[in-house]
Amino acid sequence: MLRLIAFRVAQFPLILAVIYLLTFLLVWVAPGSPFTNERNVDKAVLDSLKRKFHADSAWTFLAYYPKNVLTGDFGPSFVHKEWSVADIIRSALPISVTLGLFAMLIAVPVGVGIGTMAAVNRGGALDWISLIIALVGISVPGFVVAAVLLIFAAETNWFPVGGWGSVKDMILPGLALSLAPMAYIVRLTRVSMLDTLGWDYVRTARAKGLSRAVVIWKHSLRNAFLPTMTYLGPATATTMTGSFVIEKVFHIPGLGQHFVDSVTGRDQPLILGVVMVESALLLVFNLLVDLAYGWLDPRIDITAKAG
Amino acid sequence: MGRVLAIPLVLFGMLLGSVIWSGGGVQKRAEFSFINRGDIYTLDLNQMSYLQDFRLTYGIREGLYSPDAKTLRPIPAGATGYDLSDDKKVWTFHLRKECKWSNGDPVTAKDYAFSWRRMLEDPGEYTYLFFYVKGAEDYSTRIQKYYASEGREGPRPDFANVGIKAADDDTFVVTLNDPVPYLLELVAFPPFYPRNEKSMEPFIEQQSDVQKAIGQVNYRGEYTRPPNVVTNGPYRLTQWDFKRRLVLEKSDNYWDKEHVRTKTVEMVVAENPLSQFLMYESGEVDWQSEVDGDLAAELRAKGRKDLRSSPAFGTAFLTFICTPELPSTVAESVGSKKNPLADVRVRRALTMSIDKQFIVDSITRMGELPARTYLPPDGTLDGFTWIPGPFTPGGAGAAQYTDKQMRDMLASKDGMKGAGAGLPFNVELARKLLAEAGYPNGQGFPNLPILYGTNSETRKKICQVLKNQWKDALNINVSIVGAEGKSFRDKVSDKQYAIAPVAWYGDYPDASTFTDKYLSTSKQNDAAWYNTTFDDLCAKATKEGDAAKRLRLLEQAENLLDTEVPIAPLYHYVNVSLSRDNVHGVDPNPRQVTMFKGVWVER
Repeated sequence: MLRLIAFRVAQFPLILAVIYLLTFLLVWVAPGSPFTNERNVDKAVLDSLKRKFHADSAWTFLAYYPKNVLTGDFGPSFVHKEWSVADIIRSALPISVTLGLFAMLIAVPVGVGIGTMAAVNRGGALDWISLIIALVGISVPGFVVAAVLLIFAAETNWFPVGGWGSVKDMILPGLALSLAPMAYIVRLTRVSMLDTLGWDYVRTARAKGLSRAVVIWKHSLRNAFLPTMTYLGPATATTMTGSFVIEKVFHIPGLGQHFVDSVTGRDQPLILGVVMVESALLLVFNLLVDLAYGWLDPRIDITAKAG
Repeated sequence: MGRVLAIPLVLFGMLLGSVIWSGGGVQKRAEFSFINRGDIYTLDLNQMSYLQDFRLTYGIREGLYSPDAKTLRPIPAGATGYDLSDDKKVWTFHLRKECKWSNGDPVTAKDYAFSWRRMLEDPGEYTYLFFYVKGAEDYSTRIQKYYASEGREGPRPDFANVGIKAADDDTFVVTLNDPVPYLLELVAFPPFYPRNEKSMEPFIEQQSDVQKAIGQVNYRGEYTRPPNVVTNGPYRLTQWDFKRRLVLEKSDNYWDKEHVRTKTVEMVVAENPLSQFLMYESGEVDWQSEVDGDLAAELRAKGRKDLRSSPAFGTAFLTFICTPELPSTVAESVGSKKNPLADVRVRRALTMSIDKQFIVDSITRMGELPARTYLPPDGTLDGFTWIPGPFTPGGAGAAQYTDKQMRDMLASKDGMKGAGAGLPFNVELARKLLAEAGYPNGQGFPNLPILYGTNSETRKKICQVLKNQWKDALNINVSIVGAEGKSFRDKVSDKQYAIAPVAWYGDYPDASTFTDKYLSTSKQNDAAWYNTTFDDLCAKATKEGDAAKRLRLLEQAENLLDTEVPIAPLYHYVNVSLSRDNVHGVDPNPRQVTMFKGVWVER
C-alpha cells in the first residue's frame, strides 16, 4: 500500500512538468501580449518591459521561470505588476478551497440522499424531483443561477449581496456552486442504486428480516456509492479551485476568476500558476479517491495493477 | 453506512481547516466607499494607463499642480507657482516648502527629478509625454539601447543633458524643446508625480553582474503596496487586499489636510455590472463610478435622479485603413488586394451614409451627441476651446460655427444633415461619390470585413446597424467579424483590418491630445493615413508661441481629418455614474477625474 502511494506520488513531478510545458506552448502561440493596453505602445517600451520580465522570447522565459517553480515561485504576474503569482494564489486559493468544500458538503449528502430516494421510489414524485434537480444543475448556466440568487439576496435582504468575510457570505455562492456537482451525484447515485437494489444480497438482507431503511442506507448504499466516489475526486478538485462566474457575480476574491482573466490578459506566469495548482489538486484528489476505494470496498485491490 | 458517512465528515473537517486558513473576518466600511471602474491594474506610476488606476492615484499622490475638483484646470499643489522664460521654454517651479512624504521626509525637487528620470529609464505608455522636455527622447532611446546591449552600445548617455534639473531642494527647472501651453495640465497628470527614492531602495531587484556594471536598476512592484508605499497625497494607502479592497486613510503629513473632509475611503472590488449595481442599491457603497451601458439606459428611461451624467472628453468613431493595398490578412479573405478605402470618395460615401442619430437613439441611449467632428464639441472641458470648420473641402473663408451653434445643431433633429462642420448625413451625395469612385450602385464593391472587439456589446450592435445602413443606402455588403479583446487591439494596431469601431479619449484639454494621433509619425495612427498638409499644420502649431494662432492651425488640421475622413466620427461619449444626494464631490465630469480630497458623505 505504501509502495503504491510512493509510486503514484513519484509520478507527480513528471506529469506536472509535461502539463507545464504543454500549457506554456499553448500560451505562447496565442496572439496578443500581456504588455499591450488600449493604446499602441512604442516598440522600445514593449521591448524594455519584455526584457524586464524575462519574456523577450520563449527561450528566455523557459530559462528563467521553470527552475524557480520548484521552490513555489511562479514569477511576477505580467498584468498585476506588483503581485507575484504566488501572492495571488496564496490570497485566492484558501478562499476558493473554503467555498468549494462548503459547496461539496452540500452537494454530496443532498445529492446522495435524493439520488437514493429517487431510486427507491422509482417513477414516484421524488424521482421526478431528482430529475428536475439534475436537469437544472446540468443545463442552467452558472451565471443565471448566481444572478437569480443575487437578486434574491437583494430583494429579501436576508443575505449580503456578495463579498467575502463572514459565514453568511458563503451560503448563496456555495449553493450556486454546489448545484452542478449535486446534479451529477443525484444521477450517478440513482442509477447505481437501482442496479444494487436488484442484487441477491439485498434481497437476502430483506428476507432475513432487516428493516427497509437499514437495507437501503447501510447495505445497498455502500455499494451504490462507488461510482459517485469516482466522480468525487475530480469534482472536489475542480470545485475547490473556484468558478469564474460565481466569483465575479458575488465578487469573491477566489482563484476561479484568474483562470479566465489571466487568459484574456495573456498573463503567462499566472496562467501557468493556476493551471499547476489545479493539476496538482486533481492528482492528489484522484489518488485519495483511489485509496478510498479500497477502504470502502475491501474486495477492490488497488495495488493489483501497480504491482 | 459508517464508512460512507466518513466522506462528508472528512469534507467538513477540511472545511473547518480552510476557514481558518482563508482568514475571514468582516471589516467595517469606510466613511466613504465606492466601486471603481474595474480592479486596479498597477499603482506604479511608470506603468499606469487605466482610468481606475489614475483615479486612485489622485487620492494618494500629488504633483506640482493638481486638477481642480470642479473645473479640472491645474491649480498649484506641490508647487506654489512658476516662472516662465521669455521664449516660453524654461519653466521654473517653486516647490511648496511644507510638503511632506507619508514617512515624514520633505518633498524636494530631487524627488521630482528622480521620478521623471525613471520614466525615461524604465519607459511606460506615457513616457512619450516627457519627450516635450529637451533631450529627453534622445536620453530615453539611448539608455534603452545601452541597457539592451548590456553596455556594448555605449557610452551611457548623460542625464545632465536632459532639461530636468533640481536647482535646489525647492526649485525644479524644466527646459522644453518647444513652447507647450498645456504643460501645467501635464504636470497635474500622475505620470509626472514625484516618488520617494529612499523608500523604494529595499525593493531594488537583485542585479546581475552586468546590470551592476552598467548601473541598471529595476524596482520590484511591491514598493507600491502597503505598508511599503510612501506617498505625498491627501491620503495614505493603508490596505490593499488583492481583488477585494483598497483602503485609504487621511494623511497627517499632507500640507492641506484641513481641506480633507473624509477620514477613510474604501475602494471595493466588484467587477460584474449587476453585482456593482446591487451593492450600490443596498447602500453598501456610496458611489458607483461607472454604469454599464444597457443598465444606464434603463435607469435613465426610468428617470432615476441618482444617475448622473456628463459629456465625456472622448469620441467614438470608425477607423478606415487608408493604405493603397488592403492588409495581407484582409486581402486574403476579400480575394483582392485593391483597397477601395484608399479613395477619399469611398471613405466620404461610407461616412455620409451613416445615420448617427439612429445609433445614439437606439443603441447607446444615454443622450450622446452624434458627431460630425473627431474633437469633442468646443467647451466640453473647461479651457478646451476650438472652432469647428465648415464642410467646404479646400474652401476657406466660409462661416464658422460657434460652440453654441454647434451643440444646438448636433442636438437638433436635422443636425446631421445640411451644412456644418465635417461631413453631413446625406445618402444621395454618398451614392454619387461612390459612383464617381467606380462603384455605381455599389457594383463591384468588395465585401470588406468590419472588425469589432467581442468584449463590447455596444460595438457589436453598432456594426450590425452599419451593415444594414450601408446595404440600404449604398447597396454594398460588409461582413461583421469579431475578435477577442487583446487580439482585436493587436489587429488594429498592426493595421490588419479594413474598418473597425474604436474610440479616443483626450488626456489634457488641448486639441493636440486628439490631433497628435494622426501624425504620420504617430504610433497611434491606426488608419495609416499619411497627410503632409496635416503634418505641416501640426508641426507649425507645435512651434507657435501664440496660443490663439496655434489653435487656428490645429483647427485647420482637425478640419482636414473631418473631411478626409480616415475616421468616421460616430458620437461623443457621455460619462455616467450613480451617487445619492448625500454624497458630495463625485459628480461625473468629462475626464472622469475624482479628487478624493473634496469628497464627503452627509450621514
